[in-house]
Amino acid sequence: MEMTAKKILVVDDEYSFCKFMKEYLTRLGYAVTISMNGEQALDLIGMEKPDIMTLDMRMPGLNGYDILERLRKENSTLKVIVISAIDTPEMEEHLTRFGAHAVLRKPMDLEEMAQTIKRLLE
Amino acid sequence: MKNGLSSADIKKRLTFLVAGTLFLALAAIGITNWHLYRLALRQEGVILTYLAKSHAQTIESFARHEKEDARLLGQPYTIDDALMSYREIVSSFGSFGDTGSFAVVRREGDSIRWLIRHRNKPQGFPEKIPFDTVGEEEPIKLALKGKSGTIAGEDYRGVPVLAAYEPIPSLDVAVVVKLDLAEIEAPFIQHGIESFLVTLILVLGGGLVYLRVVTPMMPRLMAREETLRSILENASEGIITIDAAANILYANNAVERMFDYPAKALSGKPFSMLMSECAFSIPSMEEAMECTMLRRNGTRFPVIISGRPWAEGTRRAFTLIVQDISERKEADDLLRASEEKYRGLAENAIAGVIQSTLGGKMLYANNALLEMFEYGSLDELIPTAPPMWKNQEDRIKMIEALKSSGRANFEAEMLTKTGKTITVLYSAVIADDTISAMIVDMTERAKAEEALRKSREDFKRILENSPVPMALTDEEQRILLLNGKFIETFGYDLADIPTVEEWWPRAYPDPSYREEVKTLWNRRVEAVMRTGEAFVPMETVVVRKDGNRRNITFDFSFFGNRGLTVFHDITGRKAMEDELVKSREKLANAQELAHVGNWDMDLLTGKGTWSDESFRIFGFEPGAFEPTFDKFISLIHPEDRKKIEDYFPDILSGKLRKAEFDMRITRPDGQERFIHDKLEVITGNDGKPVKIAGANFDITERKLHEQKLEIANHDLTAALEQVRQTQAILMRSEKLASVGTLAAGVAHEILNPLNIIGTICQIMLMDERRGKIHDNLREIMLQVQRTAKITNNLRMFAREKKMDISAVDLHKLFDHTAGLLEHDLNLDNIFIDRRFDPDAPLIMADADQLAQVILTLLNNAHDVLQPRRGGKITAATKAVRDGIEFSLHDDGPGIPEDVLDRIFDPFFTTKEPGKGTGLGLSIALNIIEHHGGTINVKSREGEGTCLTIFLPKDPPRNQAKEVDKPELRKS
Repeated sequence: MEMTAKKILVVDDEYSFCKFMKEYLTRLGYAVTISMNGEQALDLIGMEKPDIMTLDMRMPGLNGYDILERLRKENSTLKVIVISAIDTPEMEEHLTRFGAHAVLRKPMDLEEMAQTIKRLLE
Repeated sequence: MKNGLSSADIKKRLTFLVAGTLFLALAAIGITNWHLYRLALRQEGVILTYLAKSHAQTIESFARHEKEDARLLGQPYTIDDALMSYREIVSSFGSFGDTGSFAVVRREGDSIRWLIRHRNKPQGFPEKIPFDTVGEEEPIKLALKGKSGTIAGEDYRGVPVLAAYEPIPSLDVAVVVKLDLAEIEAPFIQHGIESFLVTLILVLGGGLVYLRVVTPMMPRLMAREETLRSILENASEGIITIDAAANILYANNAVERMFDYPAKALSGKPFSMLMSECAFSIPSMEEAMECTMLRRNGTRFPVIISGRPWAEGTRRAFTLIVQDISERKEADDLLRASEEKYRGLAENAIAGVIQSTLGGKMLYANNALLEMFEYGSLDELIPTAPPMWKNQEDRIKMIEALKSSGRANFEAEMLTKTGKTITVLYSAVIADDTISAMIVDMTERAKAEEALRKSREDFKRILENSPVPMALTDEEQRILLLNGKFIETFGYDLADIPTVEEWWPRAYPDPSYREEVKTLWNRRVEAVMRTGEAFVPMETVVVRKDGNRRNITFDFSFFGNRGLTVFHDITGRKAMEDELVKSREKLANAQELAHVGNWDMDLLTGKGTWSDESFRIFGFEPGAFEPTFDKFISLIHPEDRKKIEDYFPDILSGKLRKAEFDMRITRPDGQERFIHDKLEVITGNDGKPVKIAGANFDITERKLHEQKLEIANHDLTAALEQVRQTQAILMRSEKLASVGTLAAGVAHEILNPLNIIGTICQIMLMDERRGKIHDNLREIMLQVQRTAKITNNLRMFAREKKMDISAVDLHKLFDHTAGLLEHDLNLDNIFIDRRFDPDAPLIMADADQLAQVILTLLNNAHDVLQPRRGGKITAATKAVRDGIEFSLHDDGPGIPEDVLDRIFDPFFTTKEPGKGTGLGLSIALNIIEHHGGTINVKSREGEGTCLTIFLPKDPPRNQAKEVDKPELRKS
C-alpha cells in the first residue's frame, strides 16, 4: 500500500451522481475530484493527473467520446471506466475499442465498481 | 480687433522707452548724489567744528601751562613762544585732505597776522593781510570778531571753502579750520559721471538686444496668431466665449451660421437668447451634453455642447463648443428606424433568427427561434447560452465556413431546451464578429421525406409482388423495374431490356408489325400526356424470350415522371375469341346455307314459322311442334321471360322497330343455353306492325368464356385486396416502430435517474445493518433492477438490431430453447408434443432473435396453462414453398375475440401487474417481420390458441444487409 491515496476523477453531468460517487469512493480511501463537463475534465486530467477516471458518455458539450478520442490522441495512460446506459455486448465492445478500460452499465453495482477500480490499479 | 504693430512702430516705442528709462535713471542718480553731497558737507562741517574747537581749547590750555611753567621756572613767557611750541607739535602730524588747513590768526592793528598755519601741501601764505581786505562774511573775520560756527563761502582768496571758526578770547587769537569745497565735491561729480555712463550703456544695450531678439520673431508670432484666429473663425464647430454673466464675448462664423445671425451680431448679447428649454449650469459643465438650442427664426435644433472655464486676471470666462447634430440625429433616427424595421422583420419571420458572437455569446433571437427551441423568452436563452448544437463538429464546421467564406449553409441537428433533437437548415453570415443566422426547422420535412421513402418502398413492394406483369419506366425511357410476374410472363429481365428501345425489337421482331405497334403506342402515350385522359389499352402479340407468342394488352399511366405499364396476358381469352369469330363465320356460312336459326311470327295470329336450325338450337327435331308465341315464351328461362314479354307492347304500338337481346333457354334435356336473338318488325301498307322476323344465335360457349373471364377478374380483385392488406400490415409495423422509438427515448432518460437512485441506495445499504430500513433498501434496489430490465426491453423497439444471419435448423433451435424451460413446464404438468417435418429446410436467420421469439411463445403458453394445472403444447413444423411454417398450439382457454386483435400491440398484456411488460409479442412480431416472415393467430375460446409463423428460407436482402452501427451519440 502506497502512502498517498490514489486519485480518481469522476466525470458526469449529473451533480447528484457525482456527489454520491465522491462519498462512496472517498470511503474506500481514494482522493476524489469531480467534474460536471468534458472541458473541465480535460483540464483536471492535465492538472491533477488522476490515476482513474469514471466517465459518463452522454454530456452536453464535449461528451465521453470526445474525451476518449482526445486521450487516445495524446497517448494517455489514464485508466478510464465508462459508465453508460448501453445494454448490448456490441456497444461494450465498441466502447472498449474506443479506449475504455472497463464498461459499467447503468444502473451501476457499486461492488462491481470497487472491484473494477481495484483491478485497474493493480 | 486688429491691433497689430509694425516694426517701425516698435522701434519708435522702443526709443521712447530707452530715453525715458535713461532720464529716470539720471534723475535718480542726481538726486541721490545731491543728498549724499549735502550729507557729506554736513559731516565735514561737524568735523571741522570739532577740529576748530579742540585746537582752540588745546591752544588755550597749552598757553596756560606754558605760562605756569615759565612762572615756576622764572623764565620769561610770551604767548608767541607758546604758539610756536604748539606749531611744532602740530606740524609733526599731518593735516586732513588735500586742501584741509588749520590756522591761528591775530588781529594786529589794521592787519591780520597768521601765527600758526598748517596744511599738507605747502602753499604760499602771506604773513599778514590788511584787515579791511577781508570780507565781513569770511571765516577769518567772523572768528576775529569773536564768533564761532561754520560757513560755506569764499575765503579771503576768493576760493569757495567750508570753514569752521572759533575765537580764543583769552589769547586774543582765533582758530580757523577749512577745506576747499572743490575737494568735497570731486567724488560726487566723479560718481555722477560714472553712474550716468553705466546707466547709458545698460539701457542702450538692453534696447539693442531687445530689437535684435524680438524683431525677427514678430512676423512669426503674428502669423501664428493669424492662423489661430482663422481656425477659430472658420472652425466647423461653433465656438462661443462668454463671460461670468453669461454674455457673449465672441462667437465664430460657425455659430453665426448655425444660429442664423449676421456677422458680429452676437457679440455682447446674452447667451440665454440662444438657449431653448435646455437647462445647464455652465460652471458645473464638465462633460459634453446634448440639448436643444434656438435659432434666430425660432426653430429648435439638437446640439452637443461642451464647455471649459478659463480666467484672465480676475476676469472669468467660458469657452463653449457647440456642435450641430441635427443631421447626425436624422441619420441616427433613420438608422434606428431601419434597425427597427429589420427587428420587426426578424421578430415576425417564420424562420428562426439568431445573433451571436464568434465566441458563442448570444445577442438576439426572434420569437420563431424561441418557439422552435422551446424557450419562453430571450432572458432564458441569452444569459445562459445553452448548447444548441447536437454535434460540436457542426459548430466548428459553421465557424470555419464563416471564416473562409463569410457564410455558412448546411443541414444540422440541434438541441432544444428540453434536449429534443431537431433537424434544421442552418444558414448564417458574419459581420464584425457577429454571426447572424437563420434557422429553419426541417424536422417535419425530414419526417415527410422518410414517409415518402417508405411509401415508395411500399409501392415498389406492391409492384414487385403484383400478380400482373408490370414495368416502370422513367422519362428517358429507361426501364427502372420489371416485376416478377413480368419476368415470368415474358422471360425478359432488366439485363435483357434495360431501355424501352431495346424492348421493341425483342418483343416485336417483325419490323413492319413493330413499326405499327410503336407508332400506335407513341400516339396513345402522347395523347395521355397532352390531354391527361386515360390511356386507351392496346392489344398486341408479344414474342417471349423463348420465342413463344403471347396475346398481350397493355395499359399505361403516369406516376409523376414515371410511367407504369401494366400487361394483361390474354392469350387464353384471345384463343376463345378467335373461336367465337370462327363460329360466327360458321354461322354466317350457315345463314348463307340457311343454317341460321331464323323465324317469323304473325302478330295477329300469334303463329309463325321456324327454320330447322331454330328447332335444333332449341333442342328439338325440326318441325317438332307448331311454333307459336306462347310456345316460344314457354321455352325461355323463367327468369328471362318477363324481359322478353316487355318488348311486345312497344312492338305492337309501333314504337319498337328493331331489337336485339340475350336470353337463356332450357332445352328438353334440361340443358341451359344462351341465345342471342335479333328481330325486326315488318309493317303493313298502313304502317302498322303485322309481322316480326328474327334470327337466333346460340351463344352459350361465348357466355361461358365470359363467365370464366369474370372469375379471373374476381381473382385479380382478390389479389389486389391481398396487396391492400399487406400495406395495412406495413402500416401497423411502422406504428410499432414509432412507438418503439418513443419508448427507447424515454427508457434512456429513465436509466440516468435510476442509476442515481441505485447508487444512493447501495451507499445507504453499506451503512444500515439489518432491520427494517435495510430490508426496505434491498426492496428499493430490487425495484431499481426491475425498472432497468423493463427499460432495456423497451429499447428493443428502436434498435434495428444487427441481424446475425446464419443457417438455422429450427428444430434444433427449438429443442435448445425449450430445453431451458421444459423442466419447469413439466413440473407444472405441461408437456410439449413435437411434430416436426423431416423435410423442413434450413433457413437463413438470426438464431438468437428466433430463440427469443420461441421463448416468448413458450412463456405465454406456460402462463396460460399454469392456472389450469397442466396441458399440452404442440410444436409443429412444415416445409412450405420458399420457407418453413412453424406453429405452436396450446390447449388453453383460448383468447377472447376482443383481445385477439390487440395481442401484438405494445404494452398490451393480460397478465397480472408486474408479470409482463406487454412487449413480448410485439417484439416477436418485429423480429419475424424483419426476417420477412409473418405471424398468424388462430384462437377460439375453449379450444386453445395456435400461433403460426412463416419464415422464408432467405430473409429480405435489405434487412440482412442492415448491419447497423451502434448509435454513437446516443449512448
